[in-house]
Amino acid sequence: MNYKFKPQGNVAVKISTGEAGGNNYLSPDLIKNLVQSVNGTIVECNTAYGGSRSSTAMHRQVAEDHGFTRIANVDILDEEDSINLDVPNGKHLDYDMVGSHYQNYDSVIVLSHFKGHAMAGFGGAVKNISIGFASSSGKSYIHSAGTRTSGFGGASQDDFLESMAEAASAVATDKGDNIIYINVMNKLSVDCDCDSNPAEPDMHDIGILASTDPVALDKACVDLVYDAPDGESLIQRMESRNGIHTLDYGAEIGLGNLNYNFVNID
Amino acid sequence: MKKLIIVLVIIAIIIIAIIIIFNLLNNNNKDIASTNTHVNTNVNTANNTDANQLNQEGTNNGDASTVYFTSDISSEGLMKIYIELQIQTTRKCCS
Repeated sequence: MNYKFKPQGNVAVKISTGEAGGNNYLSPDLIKNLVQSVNGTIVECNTAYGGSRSSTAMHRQVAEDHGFTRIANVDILDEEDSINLDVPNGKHLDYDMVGSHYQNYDSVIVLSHFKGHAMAGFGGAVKNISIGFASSSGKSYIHSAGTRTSGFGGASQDDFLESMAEAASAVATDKGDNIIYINVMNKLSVDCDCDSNPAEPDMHDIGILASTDPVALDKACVDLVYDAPDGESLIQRMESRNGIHTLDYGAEIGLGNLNYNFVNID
Repeated sequence: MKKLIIVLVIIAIIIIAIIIIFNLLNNNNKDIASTNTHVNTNVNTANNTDANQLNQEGTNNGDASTVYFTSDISSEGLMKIYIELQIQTTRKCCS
């Protein structure tokens, strides 16, 4: 995946604003310079569960409370509607339902907090462009492996993971050369930022990784957790949910590459 | 008879001396060989260490994707890795 990325036109910076009550989400102070240097808009979508970000008004309040409106404009992409993106090579999803404002952006910087996740095992770049860009209905569609657009469940674990990779592939294909991925490996809880009461991280921070390939990027993060002397809890979380299957299947459908060259720029 | 015994003793001493000298030389060669082995082991270890370091700092897997890393989790670190990614993607694109 060798391509030229240059932020142009309207630039979206996709983050997770984090559920109210949690505090492991990316700090506005950490991302401020990057977001402002590209004149970016922070973008997010509403959740499909009944938390503090399930409606646009509540979601905006959380974004403000967490300090994101202080550093940039925040756009809730599914504030008005969903649009459908084609899913290349999909066996579960016929389309990917993303927030309709998605189409207003020319370039995307996917800025993800890598951590564990109660359903997916871990969350990184692939999850951020699949579940993260999906509208509330679209999230249900992915979680159910393409069988329903409300609520959760109805799919086997592997079908759910494969659906996530398919939705990610829809976004990556749609944006082509105009999307890059950065994962921050800090506050490495076994729980995600969508959890209002996540477990305390019990391993040390690792670093920041970046790539044009979301599969390679997430795989490198997973490998670093395995290499870490204190990664047992997160490894257990990833393995108990078969999280790596998302990346295996992503590679199978052409979303990215499991092999990577690791370049330390320190 | 006495002369014969003296000659035999001298011959025996010479033979024993030759054996001792030969053994000493042989042991010395073994030590040298052992030293060489040790040096070679050290060289191999050094090479392996270099290789391991290379794997950590910059593997080369042919057509594999590139993942950049910094341990600097700060605003500056984030900008640094973003710029590095931009430079590299531009270079790959247009070279």
